[in-house]
Amino acid sequence: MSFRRGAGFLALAVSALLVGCSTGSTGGTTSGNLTVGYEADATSLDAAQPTDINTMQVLTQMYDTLVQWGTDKNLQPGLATDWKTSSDGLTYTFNLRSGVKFANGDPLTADDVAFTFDRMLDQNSPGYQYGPFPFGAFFFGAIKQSKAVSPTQVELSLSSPDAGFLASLTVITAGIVDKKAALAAGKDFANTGMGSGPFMLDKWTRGQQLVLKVNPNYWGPKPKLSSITWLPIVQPNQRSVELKSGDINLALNPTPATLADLKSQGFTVNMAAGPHIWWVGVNLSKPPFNKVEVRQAMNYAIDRNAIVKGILYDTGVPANQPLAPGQVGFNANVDNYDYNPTKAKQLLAAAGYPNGFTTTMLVPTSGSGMQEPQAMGTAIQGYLKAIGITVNIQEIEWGTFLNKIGQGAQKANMDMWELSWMDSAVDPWLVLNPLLVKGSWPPGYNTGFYENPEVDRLLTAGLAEQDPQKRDQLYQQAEALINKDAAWIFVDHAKEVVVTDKSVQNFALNPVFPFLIHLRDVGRS
Amino acid sequence: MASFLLRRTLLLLPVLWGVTVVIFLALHLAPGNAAQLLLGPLATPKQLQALELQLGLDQPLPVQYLSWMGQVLHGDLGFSISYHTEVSGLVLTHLRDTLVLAGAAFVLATVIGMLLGIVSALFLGRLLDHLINIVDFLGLAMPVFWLSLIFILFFGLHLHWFPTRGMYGVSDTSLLSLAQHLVLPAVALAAAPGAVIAQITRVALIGELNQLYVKVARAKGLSKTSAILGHALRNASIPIVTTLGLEINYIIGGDVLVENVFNWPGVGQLLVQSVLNRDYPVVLGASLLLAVIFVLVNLLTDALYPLFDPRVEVHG
Repeated sequence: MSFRRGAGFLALAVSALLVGCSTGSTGGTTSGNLTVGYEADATSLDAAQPTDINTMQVLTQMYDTLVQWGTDKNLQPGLATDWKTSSDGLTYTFNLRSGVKFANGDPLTADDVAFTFDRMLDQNSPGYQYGPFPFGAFFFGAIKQSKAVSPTQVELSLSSPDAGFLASLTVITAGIVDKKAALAAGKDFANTGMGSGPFMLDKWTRGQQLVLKVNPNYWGPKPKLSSITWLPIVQPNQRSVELKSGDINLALNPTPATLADLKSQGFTVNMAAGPHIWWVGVNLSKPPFNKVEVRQAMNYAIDRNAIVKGILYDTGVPANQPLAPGQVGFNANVDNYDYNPTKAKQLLAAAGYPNGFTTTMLVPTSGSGMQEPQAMGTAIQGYLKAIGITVNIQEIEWGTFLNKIGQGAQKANMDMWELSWMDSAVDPWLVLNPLLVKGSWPPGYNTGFYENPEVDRLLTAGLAEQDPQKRDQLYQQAEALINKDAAWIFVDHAKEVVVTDKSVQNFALNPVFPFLIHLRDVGRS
Repeated sequence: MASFLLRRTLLLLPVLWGVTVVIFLALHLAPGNAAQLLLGPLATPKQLQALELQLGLDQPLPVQYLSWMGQVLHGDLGFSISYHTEVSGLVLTHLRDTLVLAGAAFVLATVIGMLLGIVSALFLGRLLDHLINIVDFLGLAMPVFWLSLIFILFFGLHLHWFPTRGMYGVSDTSLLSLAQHLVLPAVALAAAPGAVIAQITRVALIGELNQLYVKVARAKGLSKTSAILGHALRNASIPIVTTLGLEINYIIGGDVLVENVFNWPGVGQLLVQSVLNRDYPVVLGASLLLAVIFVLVNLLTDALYPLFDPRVEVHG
C-alpha cells in the first residue's frame, strides 16, 4: 500500500514539473527573431539543387540574383546594376554592383556569376560533379557560354534568341553562389550554402529547425530581424494550430478552411494571386475531345466561382486562360465561360452528343501546386454529370501520376487529367510554349496534343520579339485563341497565403511573384 | 543458449539480404523514379534522361543493386537524392529520435498497461475492473492519428500544458524540454499497445489465479495481493512477454502517424517522404537498419523466455 502511495506522489510530482515549466516553445520570446512554420524541412542550401518551392523560401533569404522583380512587370537591378542585349538577341552583358561580398567575406565577382551557370550546364565545370541541378537545363538551357569579361562584367551568350531570358534570371535557381566556398565544400555545400543575400545559415538540425542569422556583409539595407527560425510543420492544419498557440509567428499556406477563424482571432491573412494555373487537360487527339464545342461545353458547365469559394475558401482566382491577371500577355477581353449549364448542353448537342458521354479523369492525391485535387475533381465530376457527362475518377499517387503525364495522353491512354503549373520566371513563354505549341507534343509537355498553327506562329514570334509592347500583344492574341479553342478546362489561379501574428511588421507579398516570401524588410514589435 | 544466440545472429544475414532485395524490387517496380519526382511536371524526356544519368538511374537494375550492395559492404549507405546528404548520418539521427519516442511509448505502455491489468485482476468483477476494461477498449478503439490531434487541440492549444510540435524547444535542447515534448506523442502512441498489454496481463493473471498453487499460497496465509504479485505474475509472464514483443512492432508502425502529426523528426516520417520521392538510397538504408532492429528485438524476446520460465529451453 505504501509503495502505491509513494508511486502516486512521484507521478504527481513529475507531471507538475513537466506541465508547470511548459511555456511552449514560443517563437516570440526573442524579439529580433521571426519563427516561420513551413511545409517540410529544407532539402539543400545550394541554390541550384532544390526543385521544391518550400526550400526556395529559405534560399530566397540567402541568395541574390542578377535581376529581380520590383512591384510591377519591370525588372529591377539585383546584383547587376545595368545590362544590355545585343541586337541579335544572343548576347547579354551585365555590369555587376561593386563592393558586394558573400556572407563569409569573399568578394562577389563575375567569376562567381559565370561559375553559377557553368556548373549547371557544362560537364567540364569543376562544380558539375556536385549536382545534379535539375532545373538548370529547364531555365537556362539556352545559355551557350558564360564568360567573366572583367571582375565586374559578365557575358551570357545564348544559342538562340529568347525574349524571356532575363525573366528566367530572377528564379532562385540562378542565385549567385560563392565559387570558392562551393568548390571547397564539395558535396557538403548542400548543408551550408553561401550567398550574398540578407541572411546566412546559423545552424541547421535536419528535420527539426533551421536558423538563419543576418549576413554581416550584406550590400543592401540591413535587415530588421536578427534571425529567422524555420520549423517544418507537415500538416497544413498544424500550421494554423501552431500559429494560434504562439509557437510560430508566420505560417505558410495553412489550411484554407482555418483562415476565417485565424482572421477573427486577430491574425493577418496575406493573400495574393500569382502566375499559376490549375486546369483539366483533355486528350484532343480523340473523340469527343477533338470537338471544340465539347471542350467549350465543359468550360461552361463548371461553376468556377463556387469551386473557388466553397472548396478553396477564396485562396484562388477563377481562370479563363492559362496566364494569370497581371502577367504579360494576359488578355482581359476573352470569354469568361461563366457558369451556364443550359448553354453547355446546347453545345454538347450541337457537337453530336445530346446524351453526353462517359469518360475517365486522372486525379493525383497530392502534388505541388495542386491545391485540393480530390475535392476539386469531385466537384468537376458533379458539374459535368449535370450536363450528361459521366466522369469516372481514378485517383493515383503523385509519383505514379507524373509518370503517366510524362508519357503523354495517347501512350498513357488518358482522357482527362488534372494538372497545375507555376510560372516561376513569370514570363509567358515559360507557360504557353511548353504547354500549348505543336512542337511540345509528347514527349513534350503538351500532353493533350493541342494544335493551332496560328497560336504556334504567335508564340514563336513572341519568343523572339524584343519590344515588350509588341510581345504583350502577340501573347494576348495567342491567349484569345487558346481561350476560344477551349484547349483545356480552365479552373483557377492559386493564391499564396501567408498568415502572420500581430508582432510581425512590414510583411508584404511580392505582387509579381507572391509564391516566395521576402523577409529582409520585415520586423517584429 | 550460446549456440542459440550464434544461430539466431547468423540468421540476421539472409534476413537482411532478403529485405534489401524485396525493398529494392518494390521501389523500382513502382512507376515514377527519383528524377521524375525531382523535376515534377517540368520533365521532358531529354532532361529526365540527363538527370537519370547523373543519378545513376539509367543502369540496369541488377547493376544498380550490386553497386549499392558493394557500397553497403564497405559501410557506405550512399547519398540521399532528395536531401543531398549522407544516408547513414540522416537515417541514424532520425532513427535515434524515433527510438526515443518509441522507447518512451513502450515503457509507458508496459508500465501503465501492466499496472492496469494487475489492478483489474485484483479487483476482478468489481467496479474498478469494469472501469479499467472500458478505458482499455477506448484505448484500442481510438485511432492514433485522431487521438494525436485531440491531444494537440486540448492539451496543447486550449490548456497550454504541453508543447505540440517537434522534439525540443526552439533553442532549448535540455532534457526537460525533451521530456515536455515527449508527453503528448508518447501517450498517444502508447494508448493502444497499453490497452492490449492491460488486457493480456489481466487475462493471464486470471488464468493463474485459478491454479492450485495460488490456493495453497492463500491457505498458507499470504494476502491476495502478495500471492498475485509474488507468484502468479511470474507464471503469467510468458504471454505478457510475447505480447510486449508484438506491441513493439505496432509501436514502430503507429510511430509514423504520430511523427507526422507532431512533426517529430523520426525515421517513420523520413521513410514515408522518401518512398513518395522515390529516394532509393534513403529507403534502402532505413529499411536495412529497421530490419536489424526487428530481428534483434525478436532475438531478445526469445532469449528472455528462460528467465521467466525455466521449463522453456531455447533451441537454436
